[in-house]
Amino acid sequence: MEDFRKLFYDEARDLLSKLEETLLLLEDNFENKELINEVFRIMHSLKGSGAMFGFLNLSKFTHNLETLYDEIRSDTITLNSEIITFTMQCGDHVSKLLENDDDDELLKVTDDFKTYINNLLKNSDTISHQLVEDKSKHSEIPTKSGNKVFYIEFDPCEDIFNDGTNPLYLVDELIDFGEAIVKLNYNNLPDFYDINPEKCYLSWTILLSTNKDKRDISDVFIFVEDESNIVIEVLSDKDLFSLKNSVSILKHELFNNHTNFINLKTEAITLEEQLSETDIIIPIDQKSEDKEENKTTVESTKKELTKPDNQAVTNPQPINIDTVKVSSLKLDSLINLVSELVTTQARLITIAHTNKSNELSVLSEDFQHLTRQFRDIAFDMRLIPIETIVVKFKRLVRDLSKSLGKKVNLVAVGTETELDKNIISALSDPIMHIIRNAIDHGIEIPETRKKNNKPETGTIYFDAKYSGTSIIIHIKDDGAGINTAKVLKKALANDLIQLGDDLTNEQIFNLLMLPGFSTSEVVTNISGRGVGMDVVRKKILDLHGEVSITSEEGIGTSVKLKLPLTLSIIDGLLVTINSESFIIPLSSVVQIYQVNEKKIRNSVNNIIDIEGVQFPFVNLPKKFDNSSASNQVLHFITVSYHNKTVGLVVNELISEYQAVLKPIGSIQQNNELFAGATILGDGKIAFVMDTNKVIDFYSNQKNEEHE
Amino acid sequence: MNKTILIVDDSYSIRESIGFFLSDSGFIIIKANDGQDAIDKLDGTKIDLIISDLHMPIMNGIELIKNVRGTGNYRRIPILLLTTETLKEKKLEAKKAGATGWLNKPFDKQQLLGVIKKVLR
Repeated sequence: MEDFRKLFYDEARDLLSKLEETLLLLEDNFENKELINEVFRIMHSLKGSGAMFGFLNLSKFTHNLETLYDEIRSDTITLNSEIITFTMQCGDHVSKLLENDDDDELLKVTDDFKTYINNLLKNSDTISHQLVEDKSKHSEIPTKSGNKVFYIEFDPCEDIFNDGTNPLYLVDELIDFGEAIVKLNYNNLPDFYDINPEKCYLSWTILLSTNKDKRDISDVFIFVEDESNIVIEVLSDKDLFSLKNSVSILKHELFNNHTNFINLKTEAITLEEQLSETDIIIPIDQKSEDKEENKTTVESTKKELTKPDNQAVTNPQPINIDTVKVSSLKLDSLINLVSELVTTQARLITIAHTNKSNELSVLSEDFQHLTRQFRDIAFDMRLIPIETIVVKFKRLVRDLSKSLGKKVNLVAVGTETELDKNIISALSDPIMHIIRNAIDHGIEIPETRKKNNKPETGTIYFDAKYSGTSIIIHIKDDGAGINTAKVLKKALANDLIQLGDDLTNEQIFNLLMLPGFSTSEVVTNISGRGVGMDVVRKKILDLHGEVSITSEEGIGTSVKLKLPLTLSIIDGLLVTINSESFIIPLSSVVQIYQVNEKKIRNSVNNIIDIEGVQFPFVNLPKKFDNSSASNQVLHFITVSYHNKTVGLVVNELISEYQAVLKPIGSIQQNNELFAGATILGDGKIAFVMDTNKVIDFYSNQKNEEHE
Repeated sequence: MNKTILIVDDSYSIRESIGFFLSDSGFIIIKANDGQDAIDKLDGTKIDLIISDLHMPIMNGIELIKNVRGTGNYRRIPILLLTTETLKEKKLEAKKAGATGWLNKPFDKQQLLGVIKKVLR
């Protein structure tokens, strides 16, 4: 059952985020019946499923909300933004109940909410009888000493087959209650040629000896009681069937065509008298004989009605599985295994190369091919659409703009773009912060916007799209833009720059991402909470991503995030530098050239000219080991570095390589330069370069040398 | 031969848990997300019983019943509605549309099997 509770928990979370989305849409159009219905349905699902899985308080609470939306649906209550805001709060509350259904504090809040709903309902003309708490009617079976005999008539309506009811099943259910004498009445059966096989012409009279009570018996007919004639009477309070001969006497009376309840009752009274006189215990074998007789009666009735079972064919049953929910833990371990598989496969390739066996090479290449496909599918499974977090942003924009008295619209494009689940969850906070900034600092208040000939409602564009193995997310606003003068002033005041520094716009915007920077004069409780763009930048860098800001005063600001699609495996180039192996991520590689060692040695200011283009470069063999004896021919790999292209010099280029990233400990002195390490096919370790950091590090070092 | 039950509910957890209980009790289970999906599943496969939720998007339980009863080979199939309504009118509406029976949520495994016994043997 716990497993199902978990299922419900996940589902409820989905429903709640859908609720939020629906409410936001509804806010723009109070009249939209479809959306109102959707809210109603969500409440209904929460109520129904909640009760099934033991979330009773949650279920009761959503029941009230369901009633509310039922009234709204039928136009007795008019929807307004107050109710929507209230419903959102209720949604948040349900989410808390989901964590702890029995919490006393929460229950108090629940009651407050319920009162609010009740007031809404009272104001409308409806009787709030629907709010009366459902009492599940568990029919308790009263403990009874002995059996009673019931007289039951069951005369189904002619069309009973139309709704799929098989009356015989109900008769069977009664027989299961105890011992029964069943009589089939077929007086109404028309002539053979007039019989309509889809109609029921039969009825039953049953004498039932059972320890159940009258209510249990009428419950049997609960689905058909309205259209069928049903009579249930107590024939005798005593266990008549235990009396010798009673069954045959009653049967005789019952099968007499003109019998009725009165006649039977008279017979029963006579038998009761005998019973109290004799009080004889009947031998068991005789009783069982009577039972046997009952059975035959019943079976004969059955045979008359049993329809030929023409569907008894053994066709295989299709099993419907469209989607499967898998716990993310399982996915994680799958990814781990795939990583190991990739490593093992790399070893196989190495061994195939060293052994120079054709057979093994072919095999290992096939294996490589399969591994890649396997890897791709495994990673694909972890991808979820970015839409999952966009809903949160919509809520944020709504709440924030309201509290700041601004009008802001969030337009999200490309929300179907898929990203690794871990990246998505890590992205949520940074993006929230960027949006907060945009609303707080970017978008102006309506009056100002009007004065500046802008539409009163500001817009924040959220745009996600793929770019190679990365995803690019733009968050743009059409607000005031960044005032560079203000930023410079502030940076000066904080000693971040010096007077007379000549900074490009790009550099100025980058200042915003330095620790502890905030331009807002009044620190609001929204963006000035000490967590600034520097934290955003750090989080994005942790994900191996990049952040850049562009802005034009009066027009707006745009923040661009570039992120890898996945974190744990990267495609790279395996190179050697001073006979040590390194991996350069393929995503940053632009082009590869061969250069003569002399050309590098003769270069000035670490810039060389290749095919007419000037490239700054970092001579890695020299940087890593000053005394290194270099080869005649070197490889020159150009990589993208921010918006430029920079060269990296390496000794040898081995091959393309799928690197499984393993974290490196803090022991590694230069670990700032590397994104991680990987184990090569021969068991050696290769570091995976973070080219941006490598270039940052060595170009700074160069400056220091100059000073 | 095992009986086949089509479970129609837009709630994943309900669908799965009922499915689990019933396949545990020896039934063959087919699942559908809503009324329309259920209609699509009635493609000639032998199905002995439909258990459907009342409120669903796209096509609700009542519409599903009307659809099934209206045409085709399945028009005499027993259909049980899962409801949370305690109101009598709603049940009459369901019955009028052709529901064989109903079951109030929440219910437990025994109640579920009890109701199934009324319409399927």
